[in-house]
Parts: sequence; structure tokens; C-alpha cells
Amino acid sequence: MFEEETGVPVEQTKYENTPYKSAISNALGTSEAPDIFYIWPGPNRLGRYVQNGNVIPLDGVLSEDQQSNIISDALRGTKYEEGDLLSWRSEDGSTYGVPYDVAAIPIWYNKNVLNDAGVNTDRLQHATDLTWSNFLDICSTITDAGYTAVECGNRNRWTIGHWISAFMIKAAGVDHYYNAAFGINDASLTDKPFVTALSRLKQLYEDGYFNRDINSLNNNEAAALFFSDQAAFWHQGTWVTEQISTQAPEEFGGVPDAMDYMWWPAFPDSYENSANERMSVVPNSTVAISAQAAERGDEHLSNVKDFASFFGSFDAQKRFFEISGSPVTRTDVYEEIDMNATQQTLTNTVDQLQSSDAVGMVFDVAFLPETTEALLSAGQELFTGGDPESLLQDVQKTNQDALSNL
Amino acid sequence: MSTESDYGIPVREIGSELVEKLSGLMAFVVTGIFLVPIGLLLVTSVKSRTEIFTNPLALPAEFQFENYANAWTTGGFGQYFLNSVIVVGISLVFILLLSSLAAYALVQFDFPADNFMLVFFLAGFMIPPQVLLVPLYTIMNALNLLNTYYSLIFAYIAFGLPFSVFLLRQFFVTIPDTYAEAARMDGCNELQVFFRVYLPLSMPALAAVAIYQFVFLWNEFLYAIIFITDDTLRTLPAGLMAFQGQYSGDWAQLAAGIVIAVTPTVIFFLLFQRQFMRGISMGTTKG
Amino acid sequence: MSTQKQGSNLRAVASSAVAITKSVFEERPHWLFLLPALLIYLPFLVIPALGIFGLSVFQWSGLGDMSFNGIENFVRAFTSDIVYTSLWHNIEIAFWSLVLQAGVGLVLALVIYRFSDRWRQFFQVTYLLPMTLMSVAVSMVWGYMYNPSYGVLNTVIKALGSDWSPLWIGSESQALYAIIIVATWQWTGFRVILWLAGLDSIDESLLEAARIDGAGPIQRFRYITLPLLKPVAIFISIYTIIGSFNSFVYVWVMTRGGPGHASEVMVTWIYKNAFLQSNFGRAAAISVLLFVIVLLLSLLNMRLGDREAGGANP
Repeated sequence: MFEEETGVPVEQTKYENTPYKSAISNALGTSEAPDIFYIWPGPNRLGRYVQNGNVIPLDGVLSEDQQSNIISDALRGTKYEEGDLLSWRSEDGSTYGVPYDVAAIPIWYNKNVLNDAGVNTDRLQHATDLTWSNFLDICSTITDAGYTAVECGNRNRWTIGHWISAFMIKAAGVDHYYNAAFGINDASLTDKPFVTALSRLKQLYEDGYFNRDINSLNNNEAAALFFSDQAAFWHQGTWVTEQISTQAPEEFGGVPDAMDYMWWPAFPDSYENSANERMSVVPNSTVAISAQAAERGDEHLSNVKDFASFFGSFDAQKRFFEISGSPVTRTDVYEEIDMNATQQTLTNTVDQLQSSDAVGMVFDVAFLPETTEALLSAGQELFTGGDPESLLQDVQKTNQDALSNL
Repeated sequence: MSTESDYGIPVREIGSELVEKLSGLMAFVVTGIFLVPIGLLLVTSVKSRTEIFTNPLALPAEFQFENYANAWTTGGFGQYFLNSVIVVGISLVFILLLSSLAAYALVQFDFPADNFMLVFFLAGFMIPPQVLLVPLYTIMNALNLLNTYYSLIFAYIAFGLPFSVFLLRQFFVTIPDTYAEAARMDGCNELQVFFRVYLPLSMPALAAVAIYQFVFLWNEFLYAIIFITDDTLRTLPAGLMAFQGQYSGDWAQLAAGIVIAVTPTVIFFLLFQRQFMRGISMGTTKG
Repeated sequence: MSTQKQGSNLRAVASSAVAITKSVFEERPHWLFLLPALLIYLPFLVIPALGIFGLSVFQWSGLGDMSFNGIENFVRAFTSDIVYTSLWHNIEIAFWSLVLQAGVGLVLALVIYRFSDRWRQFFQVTYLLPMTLMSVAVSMVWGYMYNPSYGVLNTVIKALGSDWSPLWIGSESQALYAIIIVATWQWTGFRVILWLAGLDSIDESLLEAARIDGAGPIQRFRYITLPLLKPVAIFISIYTIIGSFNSFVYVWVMTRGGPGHASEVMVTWIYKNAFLQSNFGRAAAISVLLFVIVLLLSLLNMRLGDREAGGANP
């Protein structure tokens, strides 16, 4: 589409999700680096390239119109001060990527199971203010009815990472969460709210609300059980539709007939503004320009910048949404499209992200790689008898090491 | 049966017969243990997605052969299979050629570094591929070979050389020198002696090396997942892993993919079991 | 003019290069045969092997430049408990592999050895079958069997009327053993075949002579078979141990080293350091330890092997 409009030829290389980060890391080290590439925004990814000088700031790439229509947290999530990985989300920083799409990560509930267990789903639909004790009550009703309350497949570890991120943000707030991760303002991952977060996860398991085999299943196996009406809750990002098509039985009704979403339970007893801050992936992917592109001549760079800007344009965003169905960063797109019920439900998450006070990112994008690794391991050990406080002490120690190593 | 029985103490005889019967039974039970998971895999591969949960042990109500078709096309196994054939095929040809050339040099020529070179190749035995993971990745990265067939092919040839050189050298020493002498009398140069005399005579040893290496390379996983990041270049073991990530809740589909991936080595093994066993016993008893 | 001259110069250089090469190969034809193998062997095996030590004193994130940091990698790698946990798991795997693969393998080999040729052939083939399957596939099939809700193992346990429902690979205390079971399943048959090769190399007449001298089956095994199997036993034991230290696939596919680090082994920890945490220097430092262990085991094998052969080996 961009080629058609501008006549600038574009050459594409496609990669799958998981191996992409090593592929792009390899390529950026060479003279064959792409001009422009997709990348996740946090310190774990884009931040490393900022630190290494592999990418250039995108001054003037985003137009006024784009700046005003893109979700503000998405814009902030691409900002860094030059060469400083830990300055992520700094208001004074430069934009290093065009935020492209977003993914909300809520908890999904299975309507059949809840109805059968006698839980009124109206209260849950898209709820932001359900408290921890409300949630425990519901879980108890569900298990009494003979269902698994929350199905989770944590064999490959990243799934519980979403729970940990959400609970930490709910218990401490977004700012405290990032401060602890980057060792700013004396914040530490051993602070009380984080202990509360992990203790509550452990409680969910010990009270029998998580499936007992949480560490034995992987996410798709858990999904299959949720889709086949064996469990009431299961969490997933808004990319869920793809999983429904590969894992669910054919008769499964999908979103929103058979399942709908609610936000993570709020912990007002631990953090006052809990209900108004969210955990999600905002932005999900961004488009960055490599340092090599800047060395290939001014005219070339200007074309590359136009192309980057194109990703934030109304037309491109609209088209991307129509084709992929996953939410984009420009909210004005949604007003122009005649959406089906599934799309309406999915994009409703974006409105709620937009209207929240702050959105925090899952830690496997936001935290340093060593810390991520340690926290993911801790996320399994929580369910094998680990003590939240001492697990967090180990993670904090790893984090300090990693920060001092930068 | 035995000569002892003439003098035999009956109890002892019954005892040993019992031991014999029991041990025979054990051999069969073990066979069962080895075969049951394989049978289970085959059954699962023709089940439907939901039967896995509702009826884990039962035979499928209806054979779902489309699981195989789906794995081959939408699951990308056709491409993975082709990649494996290319990478393993090229690696095998070069392993055989390079190691037999080297083994010929070690056997047919007397040169000062003769013994050193033998030890030099044998030393490769002591370096398992897993240990080389990090430096080899670094080298492939520096040579810009990551994410190409070459990265795997070069690594696989290098890993295959020590054992193959060793085995072929063992075999070449058993070929009488007179054959080579006679060929040289007829005016053959060294290369011709190698290609016309040694190679044809060494077919059994080459076959043993080829089969052994084929099984190893076809199944190699660690380097396959690290060197190749582009889905269209993945070999089967890495493809299987990616496939599991995508379809892991759909065991029937995954099982079909697994059957496709393992079939070549199983067929190869069943066809060439004798050469395979021969390779094993050459590798152990003469080492 | 100048291009012509350059061309002829080039041609002269090329032809003299060819001539030199030719004369080298004529005088030392062995290099012609060795060179192709060395061209691959040196850069992709020998240099990386030395490179482990080099890399271990640099910091490198897989991107950008490397920077020298002395023993920092070793300090950081070996002050963390995880490396010792991993090492201990490798030792546990090695121990159980010795008992189950090598030990049970020997018993099975002795049983099969006495069968008629046809049966022996049957057992050899069925026993070797697991080894020919790719380990990734084997891990996945076993991962499926270990599934606590609909896996075969727990379904069978339930059908037998027991309410024991182990979590297998999801349990901190069982994960490592679940992995050892899979390794045993895949490799015991191979050990049996190795033992059989050893048994076949024993001279029947020695056993016959002992029998005539009145030695019972147990005595014959103790005093004749066992001592003669010693070289094979050393080979099998040491390669079983080395194999255990190189474990990766089962762990990676089934547990990723989890839950927590309950099934972490050296190679998965190296992998995580390098490719998940982008810490290649530290990964190399851990590789050095693994390399040294494997090297010592190989040298031990050679020494013991030599002593057994009594210098008769060429």
C-alpha cells in the first residue's frame, strides 16, 4: 500500500514471533541491517538498541495528527533519552519507535461455566473495580460447583509472568513497579506491595483455585481446557482469537458469546488507585529505524522516515486492523469501522486502556533479561512451596547485579 | 538339557529353569515398555482434537487421517522436511568424502605429522557439540552465516568428522596394501587409487558411517533451534518445536507431525539394521 | 594497456600459485587428502573449542563490541547457586543412567545373549527402536503421557483404583526423575546392544573350558565373563556419564529446567545465559567447567582403556 502511494520500493523479510529477536539482533550488527524493523518497546528489546546506538531517534516522524490520536501510553512507551536504557518512558526523551498496535491482557471468563456455577456474569463484564475479596468469593463458588476456578499453563513459565506483572501493578501501582525494576527512588522488588502480590498468587494456588497441575501444562493445553468448559477463568492477551481457532472445539462460541473479559482484580487495600491502573502490552510492536539507514544518504533516510510514519497513519492502521483483527494504537480508527461483536469486545479494551490513569507493561518486556529470567523461575517456585519474600530477595539481588552490569 | 543334569540336583535344575523363564519374560516386558509409547503415538495421531480429553486411552471412533495432511501443509512440515533433507543430505556427502580422504592419508602415507594428525582428529571425540554452543554461535555470527543452511551444514560436518575418520581409518588398515600397489603399477595416481580401489572396497564401512551419522544429524536439535531463526529454513526437530508452540493443546495434530518427523530414521534403521549394528560394534570393541 | 598488464600479472600470480600448490601436493600428497577435512575441522571445531576460553573473559551481549572483563564472568557465574544446582542435577542424572541404562542394560544383554539368533535379532531391533527416534519427539510424547489430567500414566493409575495423581514434570521433586525415566527409555536399548557386542567378543571356548572344569554359571560369569567385559564396561560407563553431562533436549522440551530450577542442567543454564539473558561471556565461563569435566572423563576413559588393553592396542 505504501509502495502504491509513494513509489518508494520496499523489500520485506518475514519472521516468526519467537526467533525474531535474535534474528534482528544478528542483522543489526551487520552492514545488511534493515532500514526499518518491528521491535518490542521495553528495555529488554528496543532499550538495548538505544543503549548500543543501533537505532536513531525519530524526531519529526510522527505528525501532530498522529500524536493526538495515538494512545498516550503507547507514545510514552517508545521514549528514551539518548543511549540510556533505563530512561524508558521519560517525558523528556525522544521517540525511538512508531507505536503500531496494542494488546490488552485481561482475564477471560467462560460464560457456560459461570452460569452453571450460579455466578452472575453481568457484574464481571469488562469490570475494572472487582476487588481481591470479590474475586476470591467467586472462585470459591466456582470450585464448589466442581469446576477449576482459574486454569493456567505455566510449564513454559511466561504465563505466570502475566499474573505476576498484573498483581504487582495492582498492589504497588505502575510507577512503583517501574522504579523497583530500574532501581530508582530507593524502590526495591522486595517492597511490601510486591510481597503481597506474590503471596496472593500463592494463596490462589493453595486455596485450590488454580489448577493443581499449573506447572505441568503449557498455555495452549490450559486454553484447550478452558475452551472445553472445564474452568471459569483463564488469562490471555487480545491476540486470543487465533488461539480459539486452533485450540477450541468446533462448537465453541468464541468472543463474546461463550467468553468475555474482566480486568485483573484490584487491590485497594494495598494501593489506593489500584482500580484505575492496568497491566497490558502498550504498545505491542513498534517500528524503529536502524542507525545504518541514517548512513545511507539523506534522501534515503527521508524515504525511510516517511515509511515509518506511514505505520502511524490512519489508512495503514485501519487496514491493519481490518486484516489482523488485533487492536491498533490509533483510537480514531475504531470510529470509522463497522465492527462485528468480537471486534467490538476486543477494541473495548483499548478504550479502557485509554481512559485508565496508567498502563504498565508485562515484565518480560519491561525488565532486564536477567531479572526476567529470575522472576519467571520464581513464578514456578511459588507453587512448589517457595516463600514469596525469599523468592523476591533472590530476584532483587539478580536485578541489582544486572543493573550494576549495564 | 545341560550336561550337569546327569548328576543334577533337581531343585537347582528347576530353579535355573525358572530363572530362564522369568528372564525370558522380562525381555518381552521390556519390549512392551519400548513399544507402548510408540503405539500410543500412532493411535493419538489419528484421533480428533476432543477425543484426547474425553477418551485418553481409547481407540479413535473414526480415523482422522487429515491430521497428517494438515501437519504437512498448514503445519509447514512439508517445508521442514525438505530443509532437513537438504541439510542432512549435503552434510552426509561431505562427511563421507572428507573423512575417507583424511583416513586414506593417515593410512597410506608416512609423513612426520602422521601420528599427530590421527590424535588431532581423535581429540575431536572429546569435545561434545553442546560445549561448543557459545563459541560456534559467535563464529557463525561473525561469518554472517547464522540463519542459513551453511551454518548447520558446516557445524554438522565438523561434528561428524572425528568419529568417521576414526572408523574409516580402522577399516582402511584392514585393506591389504597389495591392492594399492597393484593399482599404482597400473599407473593410477593416489586419487585414482583412492576412488577406484579404496572407496569401492570400503562400502560396508561407509554405509555404517552414513547410517550412524544420518540418525544423529536428522535428530539434531540444539544447533537446529539456535542457528536457524527463519521458519522457512527450519529443519524438522526445530520445526517440531515451533509446531508444538502453536498447536500444543491439539495433541492429535502434534502427534501426526511427530510421526512424519521420525518416520525416515525408523525406516532407514529397519532397512539397514545390520550395517547399523556393525557400526556400533566397530565403534566399541575396537576402541 | 594497464588492465592488460594487470591481467597478465594476475595470470602469472595465479599460475605460480597453482604451480606451488601442485608441487606441494606432489611432494606431500597427504596434504591434498587431509586439507578438505581440515578446512572444516579447524574453523568449526578446533577454533571454537579454544574459543570457549577466549570468550569466557569477555563481556558480550550478542550485539555490538566485546569488552574484556577478566575473571568477572567466572566470579558472577560461580557465585550464583544455580550453576551448582545444575551440576548436581547432571551428577544425579549420571548416577541413575549408570544404574538404569548401563546396569539394567547388562542384565538384559545377558538374557538376550542366550536366545536363538532369530529371537535375538527381534529383541535387538525392538530395543534399538527408541534410539532412532528424535529426542525432541520422544520428549513430546512423554510430556503428553505425563500430563496429569489426561495423560496415559495418570489415567492408568486412576483406572487401577489409586487416588495417587503425581504431577510428574510439573512437580519440583519429581521433574528430574521424570526426565531420567525418558532418557532411560530411549537409551537403555542402545546400551544393551553395546553390551552384546562385548559379549560376542568373548571367546566361547574359555567358557566351555571353565564349564568342563566344573564352574557353575555364576562362577563362570564372575571369573570369566565379567573380567573380559571390563574394557566394554569402561567404555559404556564413561560414555553414559558423558552423555548425562551433555543432557539438553529432554529438559528443554519437557520442563525448560523448571519448575523453578528443579531440573536445570548445565547445558540449559548455558543456553539461558547466552540466548535468554544475552550474556555470552558468562555462558562461556560455565561452558569451560563443562568442557573440563567432559575432557577429564574422556582422558580417564583413554587411560583405563589403555591399561585394560595392556599395550596390545596399536
